[in-house]
Amino acid sequence: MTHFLRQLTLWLALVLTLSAPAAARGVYLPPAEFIHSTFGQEIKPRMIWLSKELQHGIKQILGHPYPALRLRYWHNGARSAWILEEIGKEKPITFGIVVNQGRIEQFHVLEFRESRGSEIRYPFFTEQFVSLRLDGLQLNGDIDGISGATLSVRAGKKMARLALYLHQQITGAP
Amino acid sequence: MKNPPRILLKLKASQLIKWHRRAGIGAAVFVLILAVTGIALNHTTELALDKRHIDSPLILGWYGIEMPDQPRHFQAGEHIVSQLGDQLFIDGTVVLHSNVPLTGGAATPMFIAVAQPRELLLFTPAGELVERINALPGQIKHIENIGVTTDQTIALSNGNEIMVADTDMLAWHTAQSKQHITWSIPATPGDDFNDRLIAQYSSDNITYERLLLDLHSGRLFGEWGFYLMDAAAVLLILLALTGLWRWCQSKSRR
Repeated sequence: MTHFLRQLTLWLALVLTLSAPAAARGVYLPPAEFIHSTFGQEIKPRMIWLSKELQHGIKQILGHPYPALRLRYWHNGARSAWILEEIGKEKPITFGIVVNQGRIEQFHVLEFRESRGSEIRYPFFTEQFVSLRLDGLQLNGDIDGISGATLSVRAGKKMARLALYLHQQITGAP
Repeated sequence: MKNPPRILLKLKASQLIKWHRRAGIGAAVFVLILAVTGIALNHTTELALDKRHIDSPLILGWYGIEMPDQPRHFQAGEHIVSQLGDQLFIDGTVVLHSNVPLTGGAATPMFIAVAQPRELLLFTPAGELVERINALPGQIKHIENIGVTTDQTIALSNGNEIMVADTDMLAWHTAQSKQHITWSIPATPGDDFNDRLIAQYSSDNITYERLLLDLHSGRLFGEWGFYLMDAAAVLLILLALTGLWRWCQSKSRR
């Protein structure tokens, strides 16, 4: 029943959002605001260099290496925050992901640049990621897709896995 | 060999020749196109058709690719940061695709920093992308200018506030009032440099192989191109059949 209701919500949201695709592009949460709202204080970013070994793992998740030499992240206690980008169909989608003790605590779409597929920014979709963790290099739970936003959904799932993988790397936790 | 059907024999030779000739004339242009493009495509590697690019504005325009007007350049230390269309160049080499207009560029011994209104792109001096910084410091929501301090660190300005980074570009602080900053200014590297960028821009698009493939399939002529080539193929079939009929008739007469 819950699954049915979720599917119904996804379809309804799709119908509503398809009617205004041009309005889909935009900055939904400025990156600086995402960091500030996550930690509630000024926090200095840290840096992880994407070594060959690390890029090997990343490639298993993304299907390609991350297109940068280093990534900045914010870390406080058991929480880490990541701002990651992945191409949806043609343009990069910016995600903000917070990992706490190896599980996703927050999942946001910070900026969406394509004309279609921005439904992934809505809580009905993003909340599916909360509490998920890595099982090998896969998420330990299912994420319901959105018709017409397949590539954006795929990008979101990859970024969730990447954030969890990178969190493992910086904390050393399995 | 079995004789051809009686109905075929009834066709007058002159009629058959007339239709055979018409089909031949109709198909001639297409046969030439198909044959020439076919031969060329068979030798794509030898002729390097997949490596040579179209730079004719007319053909690129046919594909809906418009050449941007002129590149924009900024001096970043000893380097030149340029943008043409959606291509971003450092010292004339494409380093990234982005159609967000540039705000400026600055260089330190470690990085070449390229500013867009909402993002700062860091490259190594060799042009490798190090990082995209989209969590901008302080109150800076839009970068209006980028510069370099006398300490060889990057400074950003939104018009009101100036933030200065440390050498690793990790921490930022508000600029001191007396701190001297050399702000990014547009550069004019000359026509030769511009021509190089334009050549590179066009080289990122249509190859001769693509053009020949589209000509061969008829795709070049748009939606109806396929049908045009279908019609040409039907003409060729007719040509072959009428030729055979004619041959059969002449043989039976003998």
